[in-house]
Amino acid sequence: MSLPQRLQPSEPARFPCGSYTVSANGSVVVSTLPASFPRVMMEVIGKVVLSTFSSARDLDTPFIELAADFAGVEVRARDLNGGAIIFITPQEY
Amino acid sequence: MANAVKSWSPLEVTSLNAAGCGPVIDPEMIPSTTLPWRDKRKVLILDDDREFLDLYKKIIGRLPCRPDVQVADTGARALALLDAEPFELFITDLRMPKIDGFQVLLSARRRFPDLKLVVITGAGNEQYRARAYASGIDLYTEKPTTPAEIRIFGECVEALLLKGEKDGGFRGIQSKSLMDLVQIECLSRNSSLLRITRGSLEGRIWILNGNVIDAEAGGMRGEEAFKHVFAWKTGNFELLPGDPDRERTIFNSHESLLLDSAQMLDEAIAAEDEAEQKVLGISRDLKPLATVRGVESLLLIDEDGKTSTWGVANPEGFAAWTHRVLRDFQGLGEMLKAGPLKAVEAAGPVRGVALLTDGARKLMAGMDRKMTVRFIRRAGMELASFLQRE
Repeated sequence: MSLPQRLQPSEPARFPCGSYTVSANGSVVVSTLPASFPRVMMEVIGKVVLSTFSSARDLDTPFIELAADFAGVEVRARDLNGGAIIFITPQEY
Repeated sequence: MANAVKSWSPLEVTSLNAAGCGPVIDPEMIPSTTLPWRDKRKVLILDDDREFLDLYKKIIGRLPCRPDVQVADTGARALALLDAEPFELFITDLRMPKIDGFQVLLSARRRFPDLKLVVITGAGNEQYRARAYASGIDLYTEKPTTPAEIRIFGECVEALLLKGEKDGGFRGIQSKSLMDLVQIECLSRNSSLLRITRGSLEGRIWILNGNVIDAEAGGMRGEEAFKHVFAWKTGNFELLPGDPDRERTIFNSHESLLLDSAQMLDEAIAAEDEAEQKVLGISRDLKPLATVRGVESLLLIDEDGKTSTWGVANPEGFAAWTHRVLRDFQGLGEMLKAGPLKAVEAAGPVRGVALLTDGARKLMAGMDRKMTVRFIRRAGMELASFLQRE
């Protein structure tokens, strides 16, 4: 018996594995992610990462590395003098 | 019981710390039945110097009785660990930046009367030594600097760890409270003089045929003196022969006296607990979280937005930051369809951070700056399990 469409749990996205760098203004510089992974998504992730690094620096707590663990993906980032290198690793959901 | 000299808290260590710490105890000479090697003795070391902690963890961990050694670099963390599990020996420095070692000692002695206490300090100061012994410690020693001193220190620690086993039943008497002692004397209808000393303080309680008839302490006499002595949490006692000619100044029954004194003591302890929590700055909710390895500060925002903190220098700033970062990453997770956010970890030269949320509450744990993201994640999983248990 299938559930009505609106009650079905949303299917988690399938993530590719790869990395990319963002500049201090958030634009993507270089990427090893497949072209199917939208650039706009990379930029949104980059924006959240850069904003976290920056707000932590404002509290005198600079970070060199950051990781966000979601059920379906790990987003890991390293600070690159204001920019960042971001690693995307799919997780078992 | 008359004419016996006993201690109701600290062990006598003069035989250990004089002339090269006394005889070395050879574990082989102690019957195996008294040495349950499988139940490892637990030792906690407190010092603000990380290198010292690492070194002494190794030295003590290699003693013949192979104790389980844990370390803490703040007083609050040490007390949280002592609360969380039973330790046999607590070794502490006296001079630490955020907390007075004496304060930790007093708290440990009051809350864990059976815990053996060792002060190891770089400050070779007679006043410190006297004050430390008055706090009910078992051993005071300067930080060893040469291999020979380190070996002797190790032998002292080993001897202290084994002493409880060797003393057998005697230790049971030692750990009796003053209330137990008075009750034993009164119920046995003994006549005795109980002489109690605590550092330079001295008190005397006269018991005649099972009745408390008089007390003297600090220039006071009668019930007032009895209650004054009762408020001492540690000390030594001597049971001397009773004095049938002593003038009677106390006419209440011993039960009534003990009840009044116990009530007074409970009130004093409650007040001290409150004061201690203010000083240490850790609430009961956060204590179990503070025991997680590497945790140095905590900030918990409950479902009503109320914030509890421990060791956070800028609570308002970090509370707002925690809200914002968790909200941003949760929003990112929804947009990416990445599933629920489990945690955010960050490592940096000042400190690391683990951010967790169970939906209603948000937790920020400040972590040791030497920890990598991978280790912070492990600690975060432990913190999450504590949050779920509550």
